[in-house]
Amino acid sequence: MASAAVLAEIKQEMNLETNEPFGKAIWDKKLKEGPGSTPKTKHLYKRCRWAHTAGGLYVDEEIKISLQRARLYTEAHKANAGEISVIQRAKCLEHYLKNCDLYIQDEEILVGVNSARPATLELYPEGGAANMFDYLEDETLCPPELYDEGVEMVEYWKQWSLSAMCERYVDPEDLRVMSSAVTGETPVWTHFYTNCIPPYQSVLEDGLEKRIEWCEKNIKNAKAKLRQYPWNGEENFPLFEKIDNWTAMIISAKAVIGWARRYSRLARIIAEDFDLSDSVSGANQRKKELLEVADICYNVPAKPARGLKDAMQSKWFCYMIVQNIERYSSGYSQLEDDLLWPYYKRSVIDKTGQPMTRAEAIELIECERLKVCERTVTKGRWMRIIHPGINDLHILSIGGLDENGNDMSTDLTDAILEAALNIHTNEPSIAFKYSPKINEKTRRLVYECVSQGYGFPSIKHHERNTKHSIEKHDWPPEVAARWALVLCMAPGATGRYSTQHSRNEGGGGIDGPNQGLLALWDGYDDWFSKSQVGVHTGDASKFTWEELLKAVRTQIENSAQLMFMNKEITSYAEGKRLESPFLAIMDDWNVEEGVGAYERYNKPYTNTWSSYYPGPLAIADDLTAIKYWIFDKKKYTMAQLLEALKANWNGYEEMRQEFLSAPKFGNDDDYADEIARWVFDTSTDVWETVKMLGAPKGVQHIAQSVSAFVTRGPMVGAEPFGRRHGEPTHDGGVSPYMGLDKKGPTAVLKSVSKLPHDRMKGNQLNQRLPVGLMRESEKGFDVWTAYMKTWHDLGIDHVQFNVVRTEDMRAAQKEPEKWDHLIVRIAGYSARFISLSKLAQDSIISRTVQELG
Amino acid sequence: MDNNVLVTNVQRFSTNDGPGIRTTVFLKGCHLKCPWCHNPECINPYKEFYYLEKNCLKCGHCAEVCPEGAIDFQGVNGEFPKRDRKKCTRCMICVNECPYGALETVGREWTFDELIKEVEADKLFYENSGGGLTVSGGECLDYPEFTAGLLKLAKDAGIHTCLDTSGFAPWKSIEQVLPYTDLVLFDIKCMDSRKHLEATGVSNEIILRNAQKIADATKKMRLRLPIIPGFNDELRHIEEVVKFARELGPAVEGIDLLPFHNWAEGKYKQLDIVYAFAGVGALFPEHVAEFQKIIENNGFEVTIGG
Amino acid sequence: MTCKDCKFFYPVAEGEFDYEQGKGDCVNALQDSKGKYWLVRKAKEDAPSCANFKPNLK
Ligand code: SF4
Ligand code: SF4
Ligand code: SF4
Repeated sequence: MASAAVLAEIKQEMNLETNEPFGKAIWDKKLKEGPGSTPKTKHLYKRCRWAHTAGGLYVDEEIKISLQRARLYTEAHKANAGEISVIQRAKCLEHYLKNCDLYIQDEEILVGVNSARPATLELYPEGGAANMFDYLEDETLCPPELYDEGVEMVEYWKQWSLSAMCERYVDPEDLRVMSSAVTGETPVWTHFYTNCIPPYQSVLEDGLEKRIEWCEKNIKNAKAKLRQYPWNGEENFPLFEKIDNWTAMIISAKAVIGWARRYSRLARIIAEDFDLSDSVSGANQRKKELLEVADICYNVPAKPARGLKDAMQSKWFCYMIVQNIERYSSGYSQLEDDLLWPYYKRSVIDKTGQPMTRAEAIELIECERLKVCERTVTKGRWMRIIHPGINDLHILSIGGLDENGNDMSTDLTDAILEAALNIHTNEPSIAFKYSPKINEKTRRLVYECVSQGYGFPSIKHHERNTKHSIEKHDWPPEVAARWALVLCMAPGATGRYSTQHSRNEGGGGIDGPNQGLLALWDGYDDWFSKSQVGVHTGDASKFTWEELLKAVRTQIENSAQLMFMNKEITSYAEGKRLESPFLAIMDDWNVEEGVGAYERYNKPYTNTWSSYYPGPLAIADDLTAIKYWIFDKKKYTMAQLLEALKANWNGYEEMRQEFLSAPKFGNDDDYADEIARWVFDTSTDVWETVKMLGAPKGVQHIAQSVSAFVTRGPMVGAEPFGRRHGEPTHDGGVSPYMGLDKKGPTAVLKSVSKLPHDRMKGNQLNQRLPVGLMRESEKGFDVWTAYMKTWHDLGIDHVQFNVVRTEDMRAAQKEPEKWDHLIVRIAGYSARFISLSKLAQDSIISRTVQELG
Repeated sequence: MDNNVLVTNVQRFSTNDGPGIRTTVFLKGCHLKCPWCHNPECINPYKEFYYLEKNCLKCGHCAEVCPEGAIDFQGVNGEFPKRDRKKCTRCMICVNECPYGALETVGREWTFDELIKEVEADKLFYENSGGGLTVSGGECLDYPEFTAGLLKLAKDAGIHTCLDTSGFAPWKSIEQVLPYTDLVLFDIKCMDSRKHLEATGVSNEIILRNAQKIADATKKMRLRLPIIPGFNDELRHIEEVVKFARELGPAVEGIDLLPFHNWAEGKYKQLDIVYAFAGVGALFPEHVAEFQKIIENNGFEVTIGG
Repeated sequence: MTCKDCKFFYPVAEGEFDYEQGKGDCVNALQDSKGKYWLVRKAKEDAPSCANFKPNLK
């Protein structure tokens, strides 16, 4: 039973005096007063420059491209022509950080930006022409005066870009298939999308100056080694490259210190010379704040963080460089409570460094959340389209247990959750590493966030994921326990050492439903690309059940092969052309070994994974319907089915109804669930058979969906389970098709528990729970706790919840202006409902509602 | 054994029909005719069908096949087909023939095997939440053998059991099921016999007597009070119930306030029944906060929504 | 008038990371539809003054 004392403590911390259910009280309070726990964050929320996209377009029309980064990078690249690539990359970064414009906005206490002006997007010409033209040719984004200059840059980079380099290793026929987007994600070099986990700890603990000294010492030692008699070529030869890498690291780290100190100077100038009388904090207080910012930005990231303010700022600076300036890299990956706890403890609890109150710490976290919402992100259209309603896949992780099974959540964990409750932003999403062993207060706050309808925390099974990393990635237990999600679903190591740096190591995916369909059509796609994109597997009208399964497996193998090849090519090319020396100096392994950030040979903790999206369950439901009506009941033949599918079910409505009524995954029905298990086992077999660099146990397999289930509708033809071409596909990794789970959340969990979770790195599951139970009743927490306990007992990997009223969503469709606070869970992240396309909105509405009487 | 017991729904993840996460089995048939009924499909003891307009493509086939001429159809450009339920003999031909799933049977016979398998499927959830099986309706005491049999099967499987009843049943029936019942959820609509008769079609003497007898048998019970606007949403009613609850003695574990909601409106429409509460707004916890306080002050544990 | 004579021009000290002879920082308070911000840009000492110019009375 829920403890009344815990609830009372939370209410007191959040200044809520009410006897109403907590969730309802806080919801009503926010509607009345607006989000934010202090005047500062209330103000920042109101004037927040949301930078999310919808339908591939930036919602804020003021957002435009700037060529500042592209220009400075191009200048430096030319000026350093012929230089070793990694040093050239460091010089580009240095040139940019010296000369770029900087700004600090009103009321900010956390500073640092990646754009020339608020609401501008910076471009990455080194990625390739496709990504540049995507922005240059969009009149809504590109001011006309920039177009010619942009085109000139594309021309220059043609010979040096990532795409130019990658394409040379690929057969044109394969390139056509990969670019069709039918079999899976298009190659990284076409959208220049990547992801990583910055090893923040090293910078927060050491400061960059110490790391520069380390590199200098390494160079000194290496040079001494070269002079040692007798010469040893085997040992000495690799040192040349290492010296280059250390040199590049030093250049970039010094540049980052200098850039941070430019902020320090700016903050001081504003404090001392400008009128601050309209500040919501009052001119004197604002001046004090700015002088403190100046002090902080002078200190970090050069030196170790003295307390929470330093730590937060240092982390933000590193984030800006690694994921926005040196490269664009998606996400906001970190185990935030573990990372910041020593500093929080020092400042808030022990008051020994940068002392502050708990409420001030929460305000700072609210500021951080808003800052993430303002991050302008430049990524290829394909990626923007499949991430509607957000800027980017910003997901941080908290919670979990240490290697001895002790609860790792702290007062900071709670503060992070309380800040999320206060500020009501959909980004960054939070992933909670769940275990029933975690204390009730933290779990209660997780529950309260879920009840607000945020869709986060998204919940991952702590123990299961830790065990998987130990068994499949061979990470030591203390590393495996401290995982954070890289993007939506995949855990990666955090800390100082050997974290994941690139999407080519872990990320990317193939399409689910099309693998099954290609098996029906001899590898031909008649719906989107109108071309042969799969392998020839024969005329399906003559297939036996066994032959059909074999054809499906063959199509999966072929599409997966293209994906894995593409990942390794890009990885190789990144190392040659697009090194990130600042990311490298953050990582102890890279500094120790003098290797580039994208090196994967002999990497200690690799994180080799890739996904299916949208869900492979489409294959399962399709196969189940076929088995049921064609091979078991023998009411129809394969030929008849193919005819009906060719007609997109038009004129075959009765037959479609029957195929729709065949057993479906998600209803605790072994008939369907066993076929689903076959699909997952088969796919995991294929993944495990593949040996990517540094992954002797094979690539780890994840089923997730992003929100591709709506946007991919047109790319997936009519399906045997009853779906027509164009309709949304299966939504999450292991979520039943919307509306086809008829037996409620417990039956869904039972079905999902039959999948091979132990073999997989992740399985995304969406569930909808009633608002009445979750937000407006007293027993919601107890019911949810029991549900979560069972979920945990069943060993299911993941679950995330939509707690939203159908009527509210309908009302928001009618009067969007009144509902800008409505957040829904889409796939791996939470989006603002009103920013979604009508189709996406409708499909969320039609997901099974368990509104119970 | 009771014949032809129809089940309208086996609802897993029930959270409002007793403690914890439960599976509720709804039996079809009830002698009361409460106009606010949340489960109108459970009133008649025979098979009926829903008409789901959203699936209907106005093909007119149902009108063609109906042997009774009970379906009026004016062509594709006219209105949706209309059913005259008085003429309908529930032969279900139209339901079986509708190609688009717009007609759907409510009520089917389940074997005990099927039922207990479905109930046992969520055992883990019951164990973790203190939940179990609830047999409800309609009035499940109209089928005492069936209900007792099902409850017994659950008990034998180690599953907690609840009986959800209007209390309107012969004591003999109640006696039959009590041994397999861990907790009785007992509805009280109103304490005034005349008013009760007017609203529900039966007076409440038997009901109140049964409540007393169950209490005397020291069976644990919770009183469930539907709060209906314009009928019993008044302090006096609550005070009377509290007084009655005290008389019942320690058997009463708590009282559940069930504020009126109008989610059933759709079901009325699908059954072509006029809904007396159409357009009446739902009540929210704040509307019954005062009632809650009174009950609490009298020393009873109270929930809103059960 | 050149940037050098402007109130908003801040020379960068020698030895700073971004020191470059003949260049300094131009710091302006700006406002757009969302709010206020303070922007620093690199400015050449001898660049002709812009519309924002204010004489340096320091
Ligand atoms: S047969 Fe079905 S779809 Fe056709 S008119 Fe009747 S109810 Fe509608
Ligand atoms: S169920 Fe009723 S409406 Fe339908 S065919 Fe039979 S008599 Fe006609
Ligand atoms: S650019 Fe304009 S505002 Fe800036 S320093 Fe020069 S004259 Fe002054």
